Amino acid sequence: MLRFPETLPARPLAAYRVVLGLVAVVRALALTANPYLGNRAHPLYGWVPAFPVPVYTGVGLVMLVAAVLLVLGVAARPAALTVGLCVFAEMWGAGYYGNGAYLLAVMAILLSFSRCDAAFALRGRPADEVWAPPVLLLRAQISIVYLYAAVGKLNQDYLVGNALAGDAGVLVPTGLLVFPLVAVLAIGAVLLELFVAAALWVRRLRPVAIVLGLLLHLSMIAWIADGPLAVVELGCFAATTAGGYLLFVDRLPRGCLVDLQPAREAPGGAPRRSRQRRSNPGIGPSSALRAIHLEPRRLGIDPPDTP
Amino acid sequence: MRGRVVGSGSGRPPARGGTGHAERSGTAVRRTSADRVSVVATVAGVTRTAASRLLLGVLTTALVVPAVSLATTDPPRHYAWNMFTGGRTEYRYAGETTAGDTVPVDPAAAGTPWSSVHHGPQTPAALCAARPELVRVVRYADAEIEGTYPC
Repeated sequence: MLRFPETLPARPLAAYRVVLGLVAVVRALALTANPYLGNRAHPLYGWVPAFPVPVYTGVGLVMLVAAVLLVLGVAARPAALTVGLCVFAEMWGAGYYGNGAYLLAVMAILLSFSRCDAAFALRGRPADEVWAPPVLLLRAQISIVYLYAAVGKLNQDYLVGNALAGDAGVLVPTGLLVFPLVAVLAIGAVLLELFVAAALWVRRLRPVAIVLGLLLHLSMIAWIADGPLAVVELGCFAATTAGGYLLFVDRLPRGCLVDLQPAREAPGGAPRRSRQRRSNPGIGPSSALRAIHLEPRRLGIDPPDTP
Repeated sequence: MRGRVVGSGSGRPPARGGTGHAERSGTAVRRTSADRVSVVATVAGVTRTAASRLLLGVLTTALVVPAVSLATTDPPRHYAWNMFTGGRTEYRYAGETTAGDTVPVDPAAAGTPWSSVHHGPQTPAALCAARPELVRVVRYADAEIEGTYPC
């Protein structure tokens, strides 16, 4: 039986918030520009009232501001919710539905349930650990995407390679587009998506799933993209999905992001070392002082006063 | 705070000898755990239970919505996470005879598996072999010509 922790590390969640915020910035620009690039705005459903284009321009600009705030970690949770709602407004109101936009909206709303501002935030609530269920929900959403992406491909038309051959972009050599080869690639893609959906939850298989998942996204971009705009579109989708792998890691590689927060207060009132510092114990002029003053804390006692 | 066990709050001096460190260490571990609990306590008591149920409901929705879309709609689907599945592309074939006439060609004439393979030159080649009167096979993807293959 699966047993879930009650808390999870804050930094991977916060790193995903930054990734999602950056994707939201790009998407906000694209959605705002859409009606001016010849893509007529019309409601996705009949029951949705039609508004003039400037309304959706305004929604796009609000989303852009929220996306920037999400990246910076300023009012991050309301910002995430705003991003999600703005994408839904653009999708339903202006008819700009896309799986990438839909995924961004879902992940942004789920992110707003979590304490995504506990690290890497200009104005956040610093913490080392966050309540696990919202993070587990985000993880589950990543697996759900892979699971249904695979299930939707379980049909003869896809498995013989028709869809892959039909979607092949300019980078794909014509020699690859022959029957048994494309069918093998199509079946491999389905198996890979199923594997990633499950293996991300298994600690031992997780590194393999992450590497294979990244390769899957990169190869899909190379296979399908037929121009720079398609690369951006597919790249945003890949970042939203594969960026979610961060949610499955227990700690980030050393020095991958600079912590924007001031030193956190330990329970006894003493400032804690940030993990950034701890990862480079021998670097910097004060490393010796830190070695003297911080090591006792590992034993649970305060260091002597710092001059 | 100097010399006191971090966060013990008691101000009690450490015990003498080696056991002092062990106690301090043990207290520090307990305090770290308490730290984590305090994080959890931000969503306290009943509210935390309610939040868990809400999140469970969201998870159920996240599972059910794509399943319903998958079961009740045709590609290209919305909300089902079906990316690049090819949609409902209609493939059809036409042939040009030696007399210069254009005639529809049933892909079933190519046999298995080629009747369902609509990429690459093998299916048109199989159709050419099955219909010797053809000099050329044209494949359409929906209304567009996907390719022309001489026999």
